[in-house]
Amino acid sequence: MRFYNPAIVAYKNMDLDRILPKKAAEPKGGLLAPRKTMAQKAQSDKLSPVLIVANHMKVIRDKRNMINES
Amino acid sequence: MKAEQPSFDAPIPGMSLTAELGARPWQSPAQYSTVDEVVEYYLERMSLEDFSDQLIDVMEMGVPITDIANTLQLGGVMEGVHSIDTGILVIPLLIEMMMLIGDSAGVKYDSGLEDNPDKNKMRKTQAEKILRKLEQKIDDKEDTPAKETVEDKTPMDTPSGLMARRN
Repeated sequence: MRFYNPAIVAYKNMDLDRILPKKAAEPKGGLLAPRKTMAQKAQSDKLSPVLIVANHMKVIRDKRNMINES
Repeated sequence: MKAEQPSFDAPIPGMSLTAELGARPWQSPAQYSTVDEVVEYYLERMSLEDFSDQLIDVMEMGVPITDIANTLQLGGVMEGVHSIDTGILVIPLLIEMMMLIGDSAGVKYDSGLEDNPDKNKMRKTQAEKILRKLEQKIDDKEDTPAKETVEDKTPMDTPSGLMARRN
């Protein structure tokens, strides 16, 4: 009999495509370009733990895909 | 019916109270409190050659990666390295990293993520049960004497119509 393993649930819930924000187009750096507000800056500096793990996972998964494809 | 055997693996009631509060590593503040620190701790450990060699051996034995990851993080909690919360958060990364080690070493591993890999396979006991039933059926057939064919002995019905031949 197999016991409950939280690792399976944790891994399956980590849907990288859903969790990781898609890269938006870089704003042009002109003088009149809109700048980030302080609130936005603070938000982006403070990554949630899930995002930290997802970012690390993305790097490792890309590497795995590279190995499996070659 | 066979009586179920009692399990002696469970902790004895009150076992958790046999040491002073705070004497166990997991009862004092964890060494690493943030996910970043825990990630760094595990990645550093997993990049060691000894670790990957041992991991590959375990993978070749057929132990699912999810089980190894869970055991690894539980060990970290027991040693007081991190809390159980950060441990659970880090599990997906541990699984991914172990898969990377397995892929780069070319090992065929069991990820443990499939619901039940042997679901479609017939269990041995199930096969034995069916086999026993079949054998019983065959035995029953052999024991019962063959029915005599009645049709052969019945006399031919004499036709009784208007057009029937008269003797």
